[in-house]
Order: sequence, then C-alpha cells, then structure tokens
Amino acid sequence: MSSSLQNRTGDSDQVVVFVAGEGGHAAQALRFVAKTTLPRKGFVIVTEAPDVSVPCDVELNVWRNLSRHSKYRSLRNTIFFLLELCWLFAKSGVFIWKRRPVGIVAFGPAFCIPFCVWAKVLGIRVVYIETWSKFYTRTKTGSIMQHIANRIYVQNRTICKAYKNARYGGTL
Amino acid sequence: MIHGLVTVGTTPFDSLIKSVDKPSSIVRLCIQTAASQYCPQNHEFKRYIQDIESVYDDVDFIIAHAGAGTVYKLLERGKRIVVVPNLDRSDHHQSELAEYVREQRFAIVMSSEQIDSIGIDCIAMMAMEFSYEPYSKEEFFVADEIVRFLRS
Repeated sequence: MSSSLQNRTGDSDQVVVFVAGEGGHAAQALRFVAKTTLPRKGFVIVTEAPDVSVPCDVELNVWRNLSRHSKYRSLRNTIFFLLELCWLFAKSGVFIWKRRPVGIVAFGPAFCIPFCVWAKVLGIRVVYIETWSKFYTRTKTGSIMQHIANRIYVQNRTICKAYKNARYGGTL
Repeated sequence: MIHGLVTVGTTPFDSLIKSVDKPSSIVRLCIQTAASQYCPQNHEFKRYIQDIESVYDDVDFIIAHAGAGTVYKLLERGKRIVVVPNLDRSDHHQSELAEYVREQRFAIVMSSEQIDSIGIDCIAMMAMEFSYEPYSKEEFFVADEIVRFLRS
C-alpha cells in the first residue's frame, strides 16, 4: 500500500505521527518538533504523558499510560501490561488505518511498537530514534525496532556500534 | 541556610526520599515525591510541582533522579546536581546516563544508600563545592532530514 496515499481524514496534508511514551520520551518528541524548520501542518504527537503542551499547529493525542505497568516487576503488573498491550495493538491499528500517516517517528519505549508494527504492515515509513539516555547498549525497544524501522538514529556516538545501521544525529 | 530541591520525576522513588528526609539545621529541602508512598517528615514536600523549572532557579542545588528529561534540562541550565539513578525500577534504564554524567564530571552521582550514610548536610556541602565540568552537546541536526525522508 502506498505511503503517499491521502490520509483518511479527508485532507491532503501529509500526516507525520510522532509516538513517545512519558517523561524523557515525550520531551524528545517535543524537542524534535521544535527543531524542524519545515512546515508542521500534519504533525501529530501521540504520547502517554498527560502533562505536555505542544505548539498550536501540532495535534496532541494523549493515550492511556502503558508504561506504568512495566516499571515494577510483579505478576500483576505483567498481566496488566500484556492486557493493555493487546488493547493498544487494537487501538493503534484503528488509529493508523484512519489517519494513514506518511511516516512515523518513534521515540520509545514499548508504547510505540504497536504503531510501528501496523505502519510496517501498511507500508508506511518508520524512523526510530534511540533514547538520549543510552550510551553503550541498546534498549529492548531498540532491539525490536531495528527489525521494523526503515531508519534508526542514535543520539550518542558511543552507542553506534550497538546497532548495525544506525545513523548519528546529535542530541535533542 | 542552603536551599535544595529533590525531584523524582513521574516515577515513585521511595528509597531516595527516605534517604534525604533527615532533620538539618543548614539545609532546607523541597521534595517532589510523585506517587512515592513515603511521606517526608522533616522537609516540605509536594507530589508534583507546577512549573518546576522556575523552582530550579530558586534553589542552590538539586538532587534528581537520573531521568534524561530532568538531567538534560538541569545540565543545560548549569545547575549543581546530585544525580541518583532510580534502581527501585525494574528496568534500571537510568544507570547509563548516570554513568555518563559521572565520567564527564557534569554532576555528582550517588546511590540512595550513599546519601543515607553520608547525610544530607554533607551532600549539600559536596554539591556546593564540587568542581562541575560545563555541559555541552552536539545539537540534533537531522530533524528536517527525517521529515523530508518520511514525506518524500
């Protein structure tokens, strides 16, 4: 399926979806948007962070927080995490189908994976940006995303050797 | 009196909050606890602080979890920081950033246990006297390249 198809909201602007968890992940997405000098019409940020504010020309979607179940290991948290991950897969599939973006920029953590899987299935380009807090080893999300993303960028030169084809892009 | 801020971001960090919550005649702390269960007895505390960035400028030093959003913001402001990786979390993803700022001497890095044993008065003095290296970074330069790639 061509990624250049119009999105299903009816307008012809090319939608780019930025997917980020909470905390530093959301902060990176916001900094990315602020860094670009290109028109931001069609930019959509999907995040777990409830307390972010975005420029008026950027659309914000705050979703339920999946990451809260993965911070502390317990049987209960694992069960809830898996259940919410299933729900997220379904909801993100509907979202991607409806919005039909031309591309996705993912900032981690696991929250972003379902969006990227659907994008891959639909032939939509995916860029993964490894978190700025990793210097020596890949994140678990990064290990999965290197099989999904069309491009991977890292923010610290020291971590380049942890990926086969990562590009260094400076630090957000 | 030395004024300090303790911030744990959005994630509970009980071991840090317990370790700093000691009576002191020279240090006054404001502790941001998020959803931590322990409630400080000896210092002012808040779950969340609206506009925390303005508080950064009002204090002499900051004890912060090693969350990247917090640490980078503080480094960019040139603040005196004691970074404490949150090992209460199962993912331990804050360890690498803590190691990096320790190696570069951008901040003091300690564990909650070390803070507990050294004491908040001594930590405050260390934070005030430490010789911090100025933080610098190579700015992100591929934002436009990525958007063009996706829209091409």
